[in-house]
Amino acid sequence: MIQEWKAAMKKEPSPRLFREVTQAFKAAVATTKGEGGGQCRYKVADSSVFNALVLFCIRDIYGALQRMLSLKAVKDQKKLVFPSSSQKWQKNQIDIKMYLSGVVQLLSCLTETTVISAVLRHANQLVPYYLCLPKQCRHLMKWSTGEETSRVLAFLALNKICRHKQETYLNPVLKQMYISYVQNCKFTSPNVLPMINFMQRTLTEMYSLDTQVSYQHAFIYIRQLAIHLRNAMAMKKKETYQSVYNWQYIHCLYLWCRVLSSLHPSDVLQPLIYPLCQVIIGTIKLVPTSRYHPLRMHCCRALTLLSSSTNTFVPVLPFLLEIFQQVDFNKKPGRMSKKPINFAVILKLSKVNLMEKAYKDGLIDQLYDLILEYFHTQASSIGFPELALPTVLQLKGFLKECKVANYCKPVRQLLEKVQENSSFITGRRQKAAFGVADASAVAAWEKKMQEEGTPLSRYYSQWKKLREKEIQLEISGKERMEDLDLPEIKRRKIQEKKAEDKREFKDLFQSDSDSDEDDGGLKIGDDDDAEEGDEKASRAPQPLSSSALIKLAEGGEDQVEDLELSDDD
Amino acid sequence: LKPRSKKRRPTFRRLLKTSDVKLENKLKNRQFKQQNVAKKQRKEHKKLRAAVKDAVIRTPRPLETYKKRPEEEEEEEFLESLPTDMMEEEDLQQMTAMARQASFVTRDLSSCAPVHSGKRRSSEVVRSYEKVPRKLARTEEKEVIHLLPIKDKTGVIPQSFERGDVGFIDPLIEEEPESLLALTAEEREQLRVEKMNERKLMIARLGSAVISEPHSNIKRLKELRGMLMEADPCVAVTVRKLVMVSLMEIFKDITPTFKIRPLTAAEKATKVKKETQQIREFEEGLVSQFKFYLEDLEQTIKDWKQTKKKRSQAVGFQSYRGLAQVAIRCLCELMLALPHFNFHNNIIVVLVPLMNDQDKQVAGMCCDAFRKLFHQDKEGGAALATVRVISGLVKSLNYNVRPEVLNTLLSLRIKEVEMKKDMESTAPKKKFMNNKERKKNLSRMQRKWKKAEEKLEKELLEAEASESKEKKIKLHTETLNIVFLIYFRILKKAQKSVLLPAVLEGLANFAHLINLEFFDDLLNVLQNHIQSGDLTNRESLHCIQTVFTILSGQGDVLNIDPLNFYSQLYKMLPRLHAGGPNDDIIIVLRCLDAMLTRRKKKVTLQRAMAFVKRLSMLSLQVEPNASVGILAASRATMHAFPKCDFLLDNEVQGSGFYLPELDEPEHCNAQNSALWELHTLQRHYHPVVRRFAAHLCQGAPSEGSAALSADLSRRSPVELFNIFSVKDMTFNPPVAPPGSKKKDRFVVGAALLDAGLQRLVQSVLNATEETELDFNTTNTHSEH
Repeated sequence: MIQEWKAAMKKEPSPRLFREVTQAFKAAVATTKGEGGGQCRYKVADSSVFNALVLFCIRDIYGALQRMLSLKAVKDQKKLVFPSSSQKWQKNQIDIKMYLSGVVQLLSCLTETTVISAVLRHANQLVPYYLCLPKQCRHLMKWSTGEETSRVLAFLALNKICRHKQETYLNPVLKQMYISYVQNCKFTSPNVLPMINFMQRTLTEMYSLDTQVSYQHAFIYIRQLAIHLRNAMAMKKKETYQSVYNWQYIHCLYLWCRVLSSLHPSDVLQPLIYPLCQVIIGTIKLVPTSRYHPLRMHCCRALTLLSSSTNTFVPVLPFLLEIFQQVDFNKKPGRMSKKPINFAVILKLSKVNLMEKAYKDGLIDQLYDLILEYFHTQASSIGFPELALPTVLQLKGFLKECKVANYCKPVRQLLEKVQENSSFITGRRQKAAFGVADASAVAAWEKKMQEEGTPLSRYYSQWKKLREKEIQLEISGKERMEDLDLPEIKRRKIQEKKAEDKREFKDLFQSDSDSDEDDGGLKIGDDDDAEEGDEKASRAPQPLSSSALIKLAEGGEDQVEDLELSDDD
Repeated sequence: LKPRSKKRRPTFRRLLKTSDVKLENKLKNRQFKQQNVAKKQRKEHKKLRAAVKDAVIRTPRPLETYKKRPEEEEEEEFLESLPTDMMEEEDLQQMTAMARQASFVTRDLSSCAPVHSGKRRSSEVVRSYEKVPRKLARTEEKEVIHLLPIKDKTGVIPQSFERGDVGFIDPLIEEEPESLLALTAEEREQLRVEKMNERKLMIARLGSAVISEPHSNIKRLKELRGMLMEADPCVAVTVRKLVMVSLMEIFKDITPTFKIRPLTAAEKATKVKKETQQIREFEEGLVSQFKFYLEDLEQTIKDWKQTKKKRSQAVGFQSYRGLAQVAIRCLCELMLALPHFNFHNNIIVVLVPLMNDQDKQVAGMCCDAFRKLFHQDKEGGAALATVRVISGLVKSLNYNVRPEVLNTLLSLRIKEVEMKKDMESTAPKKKFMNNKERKKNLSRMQRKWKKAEEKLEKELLEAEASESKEKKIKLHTETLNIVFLIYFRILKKAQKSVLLPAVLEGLANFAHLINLEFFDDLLNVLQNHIQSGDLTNRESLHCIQTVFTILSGQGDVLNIDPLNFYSQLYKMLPRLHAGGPNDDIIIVLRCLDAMLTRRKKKVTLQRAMAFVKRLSMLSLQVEPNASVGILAASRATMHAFPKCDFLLDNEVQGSGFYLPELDEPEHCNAQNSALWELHTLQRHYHPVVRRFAAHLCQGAPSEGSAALSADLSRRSPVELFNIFSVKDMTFNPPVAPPGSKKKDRFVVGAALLDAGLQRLVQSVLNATEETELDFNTTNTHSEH
């Protein structure tokens, strides 16, 4: 019978035929719920029948519908033809409605990812139909879970929906998406990071649709973050600290940084930079102990991103320089450890970690990266020498004190580069013919500097290329290692490299978007990693972060609740 | 009434050291007194009963309790069984019995008295419990161990009283087999609640009686105080706490606003009116009761301390702690409420060592109390006494005290003191005309006239009570002298102590009141401290602030150029970034005010420019409110030194390059630098910083478009710092509404913002469905 339908559909789809198919589909969906489907006309008893039916539906129904309603194929992507404009719409409305609800129901009870993506793809095609009917799309909840392709498809569907029916859907969808984002970033591990990153990117896309609405959302949620922080500051108790010092909070901060920096030249969102910076700095200063250095680094990274892409000045350096004062690099590590610490996936260090050599090694690396990155963002600013002076003084002091050659080397290199840039800027601005008061001339000068490039920015791009190469090497190295079959070492490598990948990719996506080929290749690598990481993780839990995460999990719960509460106001 | 012997009233403090002989004497005296009291009570009762048949106020029960306790009788039984009317007679009987054989009373009371605490060691509760195992030969050791912690619990957590615990029931069974055997845990709990209510009612009754008519009911105080010795183990701790607090409130209410002075022998001998006699009795009773109450409180605290040392007998440790805390709280409140009344000094003496207590809660409570005391003390007497004791404490502990103790001194409200300089200026005035000169210069009439004038003036002064002001200043001077003594001693003798920050902060706080004669020494000491390099930023800043406060006050007569301190501050500036505590900047701002703006005539332009340059550099590294403060300070400096506008143009003045890393403000050629960093600040995320930077960029004009609004320009840097503080996550200025009403367009059509994401989407969409989809898995899945 299905074959018959299929052929008929191909030939000439009629409303009558469509009705029959819809009825059958409904029955099929009903079986998934376990009921017999007594009120349905058809009965799908055999699983092979079910399979064929659904397959037929998702493959052919869209085309058939289009033809049946005699809609033209959409030529330009910008305009969407609404099926309700067809004359035959009225007649078939009920059937289509039934079919669509069937699809949603099917979607809600699917488990296998490939299947979900197929159905989602189908749903994606059907978006125009959904739009015409005030039927709420339930599949949005799947956006943040599951495998990558299905996530992408779900996002596409949502994006399409919101794009075309902004006034009705955008608000609830944004709210839902944010909440599910918060719920899903409770835990962070190397294999979850890509997912969180994806959610941040997609959320940014959604927020870019209407900045006025986004302002409202961002205002409320940033204020909420500030309230959490204020409570923590006022109570000064361990539990309240936990409500701020957790992954959800940090990821939310990062998300807003990302949103504000991606949507930069925006008069609407501009005022929000100030509260966000203040909240992040307040977060850094809440418990400024060395155990929370990883958290501080996450915050600094977020601030650097925000500051560079919005051309705002934020004092980040003091918080990084303070680490040099807090940690005694000369002290011999009390414990040797083989594992490097992956700063990307931890917030808090254990006391044992603080004594390890790996901690200090990682710290120097991180500081080098962060300071260099921050200076790079300010490299062409006319006040660079003044900005860099305290750092220069402090690094010199550090070199005087520090006796560990391994730490001195990168610091000395950093110092040289900063000084070089300082003297470059000083020399150039001395020759300038304008005074301090001439703001427009200064702006032009800075722009010129940026175009010409400064020693630091040149070094930075070099350094970054080097870093990319390292990553490439590591990927291939990892593959080779896989052949060698050294599971122990391999796992660690993957984790760390992945974190680096992550960082690199973030940057890539933001700044160097023209280098397509590179990205493509790298990206595939990224995906592979994610899957591999999944497998690995399922075999062995993350040794580094699990303890910290368990603790953080407790703090997470209430936040989600709070989020929902404040949605109402 | 018998005249009291002198020994009967040793001061509170002296009691602590009295010898055994004295203690015995005291005991005897007390026995006499108890007898007297008993007699008096008896009389009173007779009178009372004659007057009012339906007496409202019950006769004292605590005494009765004392009597029964040794016989191990059950309180709850008699409390419940005794009807009110019966009680009177029984009371009377007991009273007479007591009067006859005073030993009962004395023994009990003396055991309650603090004097015997050393031997007594633990309260009745403990004692009764200690007896239990001896009596109950069959009680296993295990049960006894169980018992002890339970008793603690009863005190501290009355609600969860011995739930599911059998050990506790045994002593009760032994004592009263027929009634208590059948009691379950709930019933016992109920019994306890009843007892508790009974006691509460009693406390309320006695308390309200005293408060409603303190003059006639002063005796009730004693009964109430007797309840401090509550013996029933299951309610003892709670009742004691309640009594302590209620007595404290009562005393707060009924004490007069003056100090009660002991009567002289002559006064006692003279006959007085009945009313006067009554008042005298009241006062005497009040003072003695107050004293005993204080002694009881002190004893409680002592008990706690001793138990702490004898850790092995952790009997009731928890409840002791609770009791002691209540006692300390009572003392603190009394100290604050009755600074004029008798024994105030004694309270201070007890409380000051507790400021340094191990227990942080206790120490904090006491420190807070003293801080409040300093704050509210207008006369200066209490402050002086406290400071004296603190000084002694600090010295006796060999400077090994908590910094908090010294930090309380910061709350001293001392605005003016007699300066040495003033003394010199007033001293010759008095000698302006001695008798001889007068005789020479003035005529007889004039002299007479003068004399009369002086007399009149004196009277007028008295009328205005301006003497009290003089007295106050005198007290303040003395207080401050002691404070400085403490400070200087620590500065000289205990340089490495943890107290140094507190001392330096204190010095900075009172610097304007330091006498001129100390200046030289102090400057040297501070200089040494700073140059030693051991100080933290904050401490160094306090040093610098002290120096400049001195110099800007009366020290301006000294012609010293503290160049070294300028250099020190200059050197320190780059280290004060946002990573450190933000409050340091406040001190910097205060220093700058004293160093640059107020001393502008003594500061070279070079130095000022170097500071402006480095300050604006610092403003890149600090939190926004500090940035605002620093920029405001730069602005003030630019106004004070108009030539600072060199810093705004890009031309070379004179020779040399600017040396930003050199730490000498005079020689770094600041005139050849420019404030380029203001442009970076104009991109600052904080709106006010942006405004200030733009303002300074234009040379800090007071008019025109670049001028600041009044609320920014009229405030001092320190004020601005506080206004824009982000300490409690407030947003000042408030977050602005969206910049424009129109929507920004970021994306066109279906294109995505993020190129990477766009590619991902493409790849997914283009992926062909090569896999054969199998819905069966899903199907079967869901069917399960």
